[in-house]
Amino acid sequence: MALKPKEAAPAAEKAPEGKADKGAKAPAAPSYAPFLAPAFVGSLVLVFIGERMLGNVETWRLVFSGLGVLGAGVSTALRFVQASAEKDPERRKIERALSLFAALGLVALGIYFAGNTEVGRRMLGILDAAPDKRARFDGASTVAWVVLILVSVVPLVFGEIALAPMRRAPRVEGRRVRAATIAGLSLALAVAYAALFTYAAGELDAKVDFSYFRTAKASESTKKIVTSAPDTVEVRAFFPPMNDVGLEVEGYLADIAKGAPNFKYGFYDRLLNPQLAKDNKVTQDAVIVILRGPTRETLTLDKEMNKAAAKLKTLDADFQKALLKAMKEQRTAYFTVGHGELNEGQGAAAAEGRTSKILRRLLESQNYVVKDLGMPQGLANVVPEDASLVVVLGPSQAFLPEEITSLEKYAARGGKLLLALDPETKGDLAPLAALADLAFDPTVLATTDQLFVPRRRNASDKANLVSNRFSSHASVSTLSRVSQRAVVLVPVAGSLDKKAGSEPKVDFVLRSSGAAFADKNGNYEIDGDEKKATFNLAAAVTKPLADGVDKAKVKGPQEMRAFVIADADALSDLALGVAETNQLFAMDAVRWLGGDESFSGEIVTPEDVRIEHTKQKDTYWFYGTIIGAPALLFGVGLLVTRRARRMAGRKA
Amino acid sequence: MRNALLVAGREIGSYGRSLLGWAIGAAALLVEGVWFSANGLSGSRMSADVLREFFNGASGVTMIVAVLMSIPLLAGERERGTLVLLNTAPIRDIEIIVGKYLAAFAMIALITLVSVYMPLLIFVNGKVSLGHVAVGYTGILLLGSAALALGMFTSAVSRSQVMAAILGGLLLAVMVTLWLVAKVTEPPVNGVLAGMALHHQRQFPFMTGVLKLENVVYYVAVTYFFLLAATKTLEARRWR
Repeated sequence: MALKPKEAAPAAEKAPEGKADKGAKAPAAPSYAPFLAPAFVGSLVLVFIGERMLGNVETWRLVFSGLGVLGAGVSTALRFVQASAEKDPERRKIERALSLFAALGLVALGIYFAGNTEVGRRMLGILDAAPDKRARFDGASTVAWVVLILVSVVPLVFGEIALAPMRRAPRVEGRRVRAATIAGLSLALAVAYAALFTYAAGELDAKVDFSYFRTAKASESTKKIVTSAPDTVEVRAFFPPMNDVGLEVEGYLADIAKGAPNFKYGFYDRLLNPQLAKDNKVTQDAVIVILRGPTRETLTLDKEMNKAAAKLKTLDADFQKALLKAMKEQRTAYFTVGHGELNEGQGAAAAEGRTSKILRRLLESQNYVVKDLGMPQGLANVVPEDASLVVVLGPSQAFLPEEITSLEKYAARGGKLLLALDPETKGDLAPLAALADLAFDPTVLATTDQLFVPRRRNASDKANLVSNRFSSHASVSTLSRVSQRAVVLVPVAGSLDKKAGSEPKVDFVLRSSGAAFADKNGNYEIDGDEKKATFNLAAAVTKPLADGVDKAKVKGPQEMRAFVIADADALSDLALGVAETNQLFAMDAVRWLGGDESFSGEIVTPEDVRIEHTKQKDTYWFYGTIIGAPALLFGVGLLVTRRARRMAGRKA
Repeated sequence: MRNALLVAGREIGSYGRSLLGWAIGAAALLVEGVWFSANGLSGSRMSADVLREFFNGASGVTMIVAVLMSIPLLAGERERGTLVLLNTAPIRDIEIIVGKYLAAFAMIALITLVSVYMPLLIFVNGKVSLGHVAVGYTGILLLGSAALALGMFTSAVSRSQVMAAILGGLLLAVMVTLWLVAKVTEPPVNGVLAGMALHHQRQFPFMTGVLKLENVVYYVAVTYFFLLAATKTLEARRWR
């Protein structure tokens, strides 16, 4: 329906002639020319409405998108017709340039429809392509059509704005239009490059983290657990779109996914994916589902940041706990009872921190169920078959011979023992130490150097030893890596040694400093025949299975393992609560006993410091920050400006 | 570039001689002080939370100060009729824009950095890292730079300071609230909108002490784009 130039000419002739050039002829621009750019942009808007706003209603989508494509095509064609019909070379040049920009828009539409419709994708062979090839194509085509639309529309609109006042003038200034289109092109390219650079920087994911307190990061331990899985571990996170908590979780999961090819994760809106949510038994937002084969574990957060903040701080520990549940079958740890163990601490003992809640929690975090084992549970006869670990935690009374025999039998059939002995125990602990072929000397150690923890501010503090002398054994691998800056508290410890003629493999994993001595007379001073020496504070013992043991019934590694420490207080709530290193020490020991030493490493649980202040301080701070500083700045400003004014006055 | 520095020097001198610049600085400190006292001194709070909240408040103040300071840069000159002098001077449009931007940015940086005693007060009773403080201020300065460039663009397209203020405020509000729009749109549009939002997703990592290259590039890109747009607006007098 393009008008012929001859038909358009009379309309153009009616136009008022330019004042500057009275002698020149009126331009031959057809009457539809000023509407081509608005028609083109309006057509693109119709396509946008059809594709993005009415995409779900097929009929309307076809109507709007169809009209849009038709409008864009016709307006571009008319522009080309107009360009070829122009007699003035300057006008022809301008119209050709604008036609090319419009054509770029058509190319953009073509790329969009080729990449986003079934017909187009089939023609390009994308529909049946591999997922990664499809993803690459989708990314590239999206960038291409967005950039082309920008490069088409912005210079076209700018050019039209510059051209509009000259349309009916006898002559046009091509340079003005050119300058406008170049300005538009620069801006469009600036947007495209800025977006691409930002995107590329995001893909690089380069960052420096100076936060003192933050959402827990994925620890090495968690990453090791994931990579050790023989099959794929999948995580489905159900969060509302653009949720703050979801973004934090995404950062955490992305960190794990970086080094674990067998780890996959995805974020889903529960309301947009009701079937998926139902399949995963998710009925609320902010739920993380860990899937490994048929096993499914769930971790629930809160979708509001202020409520979820506390849980985000312990995300790594909680995620690891759920992950271990999905990775391994639940195991049972028995704590012996009935001999005044730490786990029975009550009254004054509990008030002093001689309890074992933290150790219990650590075991639970490693997928253990904790149960009691005493006379009522049959300790005098046999350790239950389901025992993956038996913990003897600082008994203050001796065990009965029958109980020792029962533990011996358990050890002989490949049992795992965590023995925490206490020098302050009234009974004889030698039989317990003998379970691991060790000799326990209950003489309290003290030190002559400064390696102790002041508690009572008297000589007795010299018995509160600390040590960073770790072996390279797997049961202390995390701490041995950071031994230059990590110490374990060992308050009031005895010492261990190999039993004469012992067969098992014994590795003393923690030793005292060379300045320690066995304080035989209990005065915390080195005197008499007391000598400085290095004492063994903890040992990891392994023994092969005896002949005839049914290997199928052995829980964990196919050997007897025992971890013995000469000071039960090191595993008490007091020490574990004060020193994170003691928690690492206990955790690594438990992991080694359970055969999970490859998972060793710190669990990231950042701690923050609460700001405590008094009312008087508040007053100083209030006046200082609110009144003082602004008043000072304003005062300086007054002085400076008055001085400047005075100087100016003098000069004048 | 030498011409741009000349313009910047002249602008900084005029800021120093005018009481308005000092008053804006004092007002910004006052608002930040009230915010800090309300968040840091209310009850027993975690150090990192207090620091994050301080940066949150300070970033808002900086955005507003940046737009306020950008308004008179070009619209003011046009209103007073002095823009003609600049246009006829032997100096390119880009040098005018960069010079004025540098001067205003120096002032914003000064006003922002004067408040450093507030986060340092946290060390008295709490515990944060100096790196966290530095990253937080980096984020605020980048945000201030982007808001300033945005304000310069609106100042360049407006004929009066009132119009520049209204346009600047509106554009800033749109850029900040794109985050909220992203929440009610579907992928992939929501991702694009959230990525374009000036404050929320981009500024939060800085507040928590995490310096991400992506966010730095974003703020630099926004600053560059609006400065380019302002330059092109000045240049447009040749073809409009």
